[in-house]
Amino acid sequence: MKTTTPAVMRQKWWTAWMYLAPALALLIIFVLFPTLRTVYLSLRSSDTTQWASEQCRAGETCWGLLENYRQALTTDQATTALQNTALWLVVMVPGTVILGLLFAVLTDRVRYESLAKSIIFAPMAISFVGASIIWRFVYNPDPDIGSLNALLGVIGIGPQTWLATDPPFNSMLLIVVGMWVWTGFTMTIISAALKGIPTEIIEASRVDGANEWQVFTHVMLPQLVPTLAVVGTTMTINTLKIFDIVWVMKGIKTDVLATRMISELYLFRNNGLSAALAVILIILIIPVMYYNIRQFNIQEAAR
Amino acid sequence: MTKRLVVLVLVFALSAAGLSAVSPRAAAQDAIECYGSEGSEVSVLSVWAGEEENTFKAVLAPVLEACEITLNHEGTRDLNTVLDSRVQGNQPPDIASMPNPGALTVYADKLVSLDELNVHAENYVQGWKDLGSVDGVWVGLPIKTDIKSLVWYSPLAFEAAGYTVPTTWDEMIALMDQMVADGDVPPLSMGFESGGATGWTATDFVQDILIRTAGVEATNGLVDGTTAWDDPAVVAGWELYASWVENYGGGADAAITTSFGDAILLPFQDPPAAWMVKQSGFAGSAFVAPNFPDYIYGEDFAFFVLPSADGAAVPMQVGGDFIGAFNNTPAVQAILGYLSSAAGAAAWAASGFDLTPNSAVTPDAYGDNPISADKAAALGAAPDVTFDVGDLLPAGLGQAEFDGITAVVGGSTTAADALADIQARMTEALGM
Amino acid sequence: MNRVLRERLISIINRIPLHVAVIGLCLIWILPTLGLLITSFRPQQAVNETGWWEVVKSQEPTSTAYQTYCTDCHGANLSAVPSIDLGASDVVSGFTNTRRLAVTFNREYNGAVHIPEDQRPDDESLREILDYLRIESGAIKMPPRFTVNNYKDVMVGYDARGGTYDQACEEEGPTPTRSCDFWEDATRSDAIFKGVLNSFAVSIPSTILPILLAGFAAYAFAWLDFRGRKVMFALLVGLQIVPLQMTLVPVFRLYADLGLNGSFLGVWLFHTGFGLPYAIYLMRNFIAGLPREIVESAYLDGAGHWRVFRVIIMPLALPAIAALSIFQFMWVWNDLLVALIFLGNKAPVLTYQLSQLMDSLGGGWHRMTAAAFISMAIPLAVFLLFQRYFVRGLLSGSVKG
Repeated sequence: MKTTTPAVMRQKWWTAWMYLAPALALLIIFVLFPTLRTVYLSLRSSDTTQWASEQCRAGETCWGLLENYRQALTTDQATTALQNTALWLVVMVPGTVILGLLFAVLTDRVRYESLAKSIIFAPMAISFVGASIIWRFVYNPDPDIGSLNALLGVIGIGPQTWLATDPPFNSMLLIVVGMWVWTGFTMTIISAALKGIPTEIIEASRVDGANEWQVFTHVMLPQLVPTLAVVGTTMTINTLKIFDIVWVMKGIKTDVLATRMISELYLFRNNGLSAALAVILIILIIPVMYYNIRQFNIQEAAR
Repeated sequence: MTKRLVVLVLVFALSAAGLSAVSPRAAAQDAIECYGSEGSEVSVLSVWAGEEENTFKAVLAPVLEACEITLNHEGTRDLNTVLDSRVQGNQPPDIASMPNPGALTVYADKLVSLDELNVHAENYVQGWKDLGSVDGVWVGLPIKTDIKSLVWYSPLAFEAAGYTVPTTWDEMIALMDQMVADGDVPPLSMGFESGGATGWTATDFVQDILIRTAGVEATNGLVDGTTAWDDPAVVAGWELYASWVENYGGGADAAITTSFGDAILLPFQDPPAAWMVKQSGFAGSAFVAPNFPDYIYGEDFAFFVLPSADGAAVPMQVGGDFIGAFNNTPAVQAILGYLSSAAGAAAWAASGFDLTPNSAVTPDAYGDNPISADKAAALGAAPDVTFDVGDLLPAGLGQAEFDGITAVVGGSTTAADALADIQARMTEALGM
Repeated sequence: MNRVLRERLISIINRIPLHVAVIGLCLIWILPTLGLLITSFRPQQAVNETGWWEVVKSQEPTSTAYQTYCTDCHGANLSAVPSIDLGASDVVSGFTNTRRLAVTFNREYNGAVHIPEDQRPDDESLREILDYLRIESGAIKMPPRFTVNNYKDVMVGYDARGGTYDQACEEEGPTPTRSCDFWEDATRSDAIFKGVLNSFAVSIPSTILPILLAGFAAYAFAWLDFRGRKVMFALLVGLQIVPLQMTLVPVFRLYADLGLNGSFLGVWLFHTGFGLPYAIYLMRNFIAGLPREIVESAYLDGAGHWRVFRVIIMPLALPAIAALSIFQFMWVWNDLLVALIFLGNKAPVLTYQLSQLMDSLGGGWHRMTAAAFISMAIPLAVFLLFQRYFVRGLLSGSVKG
């Protein structure tokens, strides 16, 4: 069996735990413990004073202890939130990864790289609330205020009330904002990895007569695959958690899981249901966890 | 839930008690009581930031100075989140503002009874005390109130166009039809977007319609279930509102996406983009005046009360903020004692920060502020008040009402369906 | 010589599509931000009335409408009617908006309606007349297109709904909380300056600490053997999804017992704990990708784990550390919720102070846009500073090409 550690690097059994201990301690206190509490709360009533099953009423559908999950998964609102979350995942994750890769590769070849990258990164620095303000100006129905309507006015299209358009188009408009913000993130990580590809390899293939496209597909891309997997994983998580943009811009039926969770927590005061939604988010991440374990194994085997 | 039932007795004579029955005691400023709080600190958490925070601090200044109390005030729009964490974490602020009576219910068991805090109970009419009580314990001091049944307009624009202020429901409809016929600017500015709370200005408007079409008793009955939410009269009220949005308010799309703040300004832009806007009293002082510094109240902007069917005065819709105490300290007693006193009432009135529910206020206390004075007079002219229904509903139902009206206006559901859904939630919440 | 020139020319031409693509994408990206930037430099009223792209439009008032409707009586010099001298600034300054002008048309002067109903100017002409009169009579000066007042207001924390800091100082003068000396006001204890310092005090340790701890942990995950590695790694991926809001209450309770609420330490630890899953995940993936040969040869030279970690792994992980630093710093810098709950006004950070500029009704876009730019400056500077560490060739020479 192949181990991670080079054979020559002997270690005592506690060496690894020395390196892990500080991080683990904080993780347990700040993340793991609250998560377990959330799981517990998801089985409790809205004010957490009794078990969820005690809220069941005779003659009505009830999932007993999992009653909060029934409400989180089967109501109309739930379907809307799940559909929108799926739409966000399908569009935003590939969208930001591809755009980020494109920017990282393109800007790598120009002398004003630093400036160009700052421009793409800037939306991240503005913060989500700031970004939402900007785009509220863009989508404003009044052509004197909304720049998108003003722009369309120039080519003769009348003003549209963008955020009131029918689902799923209105969610797409919000996803555009999300991509505008998060592409700076994917670009930065991918760019860091791109710089890590040894120059010799790239130069060698150029000398061998490969054109730029071939250099990209045959040399850079294979080297970037681990990073793209990391970025894809992170973006999946970030997309599942997307909240501010939807919350601040608000349209008809644009709710996603995270906004539903916050509504239930602070507006509807339903702690149990809110916790159930949080647990659903965690469950949705399991396929991603599985994928990462596979990557982990592949990576180890390759060394 | 019992508190919600008490609220049914909303027919309290605030107008009479608040303005005509002025106690002579108010004239003589009562001395500020410190209860031995000298040199102590007090923490206050509220929704008031920016200029509102400055105003609130200015109102408190006399008591803080007299008792040498250090105020540690935090104003945040994320009040729910912050207050929730602090209360659940057992480190609540000494005093917290509650934007509606519903919040009092949530923290009822953590709040100190006002009877233990040397509050001047005699300065509050029973109706306000009931609103601030949970299970018979008075925990919320009504601190600020605003009247909601107002229509803001520009008297000069009306004069220039030859319009007159309507005095009956029919005149109101006729005026709006006339405005539609005269030009392309909609009669009403009905934008009600407000982020996560989108829908609240719409439900305020609907309540005023219901008071005038279904009657005040039926409207108040929505709070405790004596009026069903899917009652035909309520459905008709919602449908009427949605039809006004279409016919008089520039259409559903614009209403849903225009923020309520922008909507307030539209009738006062130059040239105007609408004729009128139905909005609470804060619209004039917090939006029109600061955005148009050279406008004169009474000429460039003013309000009238949404007329009733026969033109007679009908109950005024009001909203209110409460403050509650989580700790019983001398400083808390000094501050609540002061705010509930005649001097506190006068200071609040003079600040121009909406109106005070404290009945020790004198009419001339608003003297320097014509908008507040007129609002106080309008409140005094109403035979009765009725509280914002959305703020009195059990937790979450107010939000359901917001979401419901937004969906109805947006056309994604019908008024009958949306209201049947709210009724079902209501039945569940009331445990019926 | 000629050939070299030709090749250079060809290479330049070949690169044109590249430049078009980069510049085009950058333009699309910057356009919304540009709107925000321009808005932040416009006066409050202009922000409310017109879109930011209209700043380039001419503001020069035209006399056409005046000539059509008014010249016959008031004359080309505005002063033909002595009782209402439209050339006098004190007469015209009363007309603060077009409605005030419009109402005079209904009224009777010398027994006749001012302007008969069918001859009155429409809204647009009315606006034109008013603008012309106001400028010509000297009632108002041309309103500035751009102003720095929004930034000044934000810097000194001036939050009154109408007006500006400059106006208030001119009209009301100094107050106990306002000296009207700009730099003095901007640097006093509750102004933005202090918020920036507090934000640094929160952000710097909250960036270094998680990256340091994540470095240790990532080294263990990548190069050491221990039981449960895979399960724990999978958990790290999963824990990234945990919503912040779910952790606030339990952590606040814990802090209440430990007395950590309102302390910087509490905020540092919270951000560290919450930032760790992602930091470890990213670092482990980067470190595990480093060539095995480097580590092995170092160990053969007699280096221990600690030395390998410090001397080889950390320097080689510099690009990953730089990227993480950028994001961790930015998230902490832009955070409002955690600062609000665990610090509050005990040590107000920048985001907290900026949020104070907006009142509960949400007024003040003009200042909000300026505030957004002020708060954005620091993360952008950090980005520029750290992206220099995304350097090519760190691994060069260590592997055979």
